[in-house]
Amino acid sequence: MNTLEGTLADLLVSRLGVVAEDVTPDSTYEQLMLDSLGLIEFLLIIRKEIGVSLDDDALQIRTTLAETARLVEAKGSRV
Amino acid sequence: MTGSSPARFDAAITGLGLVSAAGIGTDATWERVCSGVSAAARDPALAGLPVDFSCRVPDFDGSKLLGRAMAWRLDRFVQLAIVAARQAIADARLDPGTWDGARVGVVIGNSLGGTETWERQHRFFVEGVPEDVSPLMIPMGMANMVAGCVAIDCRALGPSLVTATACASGSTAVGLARDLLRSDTCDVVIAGGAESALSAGAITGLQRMGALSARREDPAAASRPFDVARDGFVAGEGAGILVLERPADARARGADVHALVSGFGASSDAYHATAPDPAGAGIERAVRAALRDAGVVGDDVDHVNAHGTSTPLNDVTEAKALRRTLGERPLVTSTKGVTGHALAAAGSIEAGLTALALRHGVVPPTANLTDLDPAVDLTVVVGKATSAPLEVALSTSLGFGGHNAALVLVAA
Repeated sequence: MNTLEGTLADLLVSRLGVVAEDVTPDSTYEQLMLDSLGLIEFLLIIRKEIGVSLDDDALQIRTTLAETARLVEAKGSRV
Repeated sequence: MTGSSPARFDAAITGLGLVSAAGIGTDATWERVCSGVSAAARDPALAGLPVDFSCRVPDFDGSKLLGRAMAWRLDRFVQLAIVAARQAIADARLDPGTWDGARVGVVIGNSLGGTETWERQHRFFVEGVPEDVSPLMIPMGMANMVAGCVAIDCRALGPSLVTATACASGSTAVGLARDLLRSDTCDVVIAGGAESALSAGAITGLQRMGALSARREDPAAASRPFDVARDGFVAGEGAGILVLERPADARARGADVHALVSGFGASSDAYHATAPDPAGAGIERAVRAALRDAGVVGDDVDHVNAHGTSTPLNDVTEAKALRRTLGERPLVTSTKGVTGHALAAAGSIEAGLTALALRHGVVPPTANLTDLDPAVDLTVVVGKATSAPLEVALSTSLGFGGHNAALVLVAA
């Protein structure tokens, strides 16, 4: 897990109660039990904590953590 | 008395779950209520406000009790309800994994919804941009979610309803739940009330309308029902959940029955939005209807868990009505001296405490009552809990809007 993936994983665990042991770069949000409202909340957290604003439909339940990290990176993560 | 009338319908209370400022759990709550020591205390979340104390449930951490993945999506009033409902279902020794969910209903009272959620998200909206508002604001804030989320949690597939009769909501819910059993709509009903409106805005609103005690210098003495020096209620929070079943069903599965809900009466003052009808005619109608429904008369009543909010108007109005309908014989208490006023949860918390009073033959004292208001011509229990044989008890609730509700409980 790279630094950005680790940061995203920490947010999933600390803010949304995802079980830490379940999170890998290949985990999809469906596997992590997050629904569409949870994904919008996660986007809000990413914007506030990492400073990167993604579109509301950027994440789907089949998106993985690694794919999310790439999206954040492409938008210019400061992490 | 208590030969039941042929028309009387009893609902057996087979499970109890109580979460209040007096404690998390039925035993903790009962013990604290019987101690007569008020739970009111300075509330850091209200620091700087004209009323900076409350009866908050101590050490209630939804993340610990329900898990963070569940808790972050729920306002505290729903968390309180789910915790109390799980307690009640476990106490009833029912298993949501195996029950016929289609025959299980949920009726829970709530008044103000998720005030903490509304206020926090509104702040984000005003101070930021629309994208700062959580997508969970609506599902967390809606009052009906308290029944919906309890139904989800225990997989109750029958009707799930929310009653909103302000501070009578919990009692109204228990009364309607009994009707769902009587009409054979359900075999089991998870019934009660839940409220958590100790947010700065909601408390300010209650303070501005003059409902709250202003006894900032001594919060522990602020909730003093029926006392001549009372000056308002102390806002509390909590949830009281009862599992109700038909007595025959409870017997058939060998369930332990705490007490029976044998009568329910409801009425409206149709007088004023917030002030009770000073003659107490509205609550009197509800009490008389509940007694009639239970097939008992006023002289049969041994114990009353009164609404007794500690406001100047409520306590005198209610006392007059109780005196007219019941005489001076019953042992009266207001457990709000200890728990504060949990608004929509109050009626069901008190119904639970009334069931425990019948079961144990013990009437808890009214905390802080040192100088009975001369206008209160009732036998109010003070000082320490009083033991007495109790067969029939009444629990009363009055709500803003002129909603009145009365429950008659009978020993099992």
